Amino acid sequence: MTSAFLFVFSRPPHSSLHVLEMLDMTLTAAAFDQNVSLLLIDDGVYSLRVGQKPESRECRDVSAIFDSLEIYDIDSVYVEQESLAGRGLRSGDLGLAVDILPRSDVGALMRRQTVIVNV
Amino acid sequence: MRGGMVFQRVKQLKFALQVNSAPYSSQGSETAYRFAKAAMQLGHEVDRVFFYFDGVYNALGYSAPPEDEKNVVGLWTTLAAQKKIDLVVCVSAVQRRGWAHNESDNDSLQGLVAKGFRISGLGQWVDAAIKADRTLTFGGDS
Repeated sequence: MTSAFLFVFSRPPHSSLHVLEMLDMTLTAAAFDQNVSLLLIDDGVYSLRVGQKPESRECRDVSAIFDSLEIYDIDSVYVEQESLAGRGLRSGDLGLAVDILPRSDVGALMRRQTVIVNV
Repeated sequence: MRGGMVFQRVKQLKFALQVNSAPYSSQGSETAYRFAKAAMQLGHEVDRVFFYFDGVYNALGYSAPPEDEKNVVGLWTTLAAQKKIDLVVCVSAVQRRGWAHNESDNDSLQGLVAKGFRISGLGQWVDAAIKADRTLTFGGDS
């Protein structure tokens, strides 16, 4: 059985375990051969920012985990346009090829899903 | 049904629940408990509750609040004794939070969780979410 899972990342990467534990859920769903997408909104967009130096704070390099999404056959990574613009970021600041999605299209993305995880 | 009134039966649904917040510090776990109870009373199925993020603290076996206070862990244990409901605690979330010696296996971790809970992995959550009609999360991770 295949369901469409959307994992919504809205928190910044290094202030808690949140992003790591969200990624664990995401990768597990992918390992079960589900149709998995990610949506990065609000401070969640910082996870993909290039030039992070997580080792300086004993943090795990989450961008490496995002890089590995492809290995799990996850190629649907969406970033909300307004969240990027509001933080002075452009797609070139992100270390991963993503689909930039205007806020007005987020609803349609969500309607295509069976399970949405937005914790 | 010609001419008569049509009484629509509420469709029975299968729910998968996820609890993400610790007991006592926020409402999430208790709301999930009350939802599970109410849903089952109405004939719906709640096959599995998955405890993740700080939600794993709901399963701490040594939780012992004073007798005149609410015992959230106890509520879940009682529910599991009364109904067929699978309460699963995420092993990786538990290990990250330092409940046990490193490299503990599921069996030794099992000794730490309250009655009615069992230790297992995220696959149990995915499995429940795939089989359920609705997957609900309770309590934002904080």
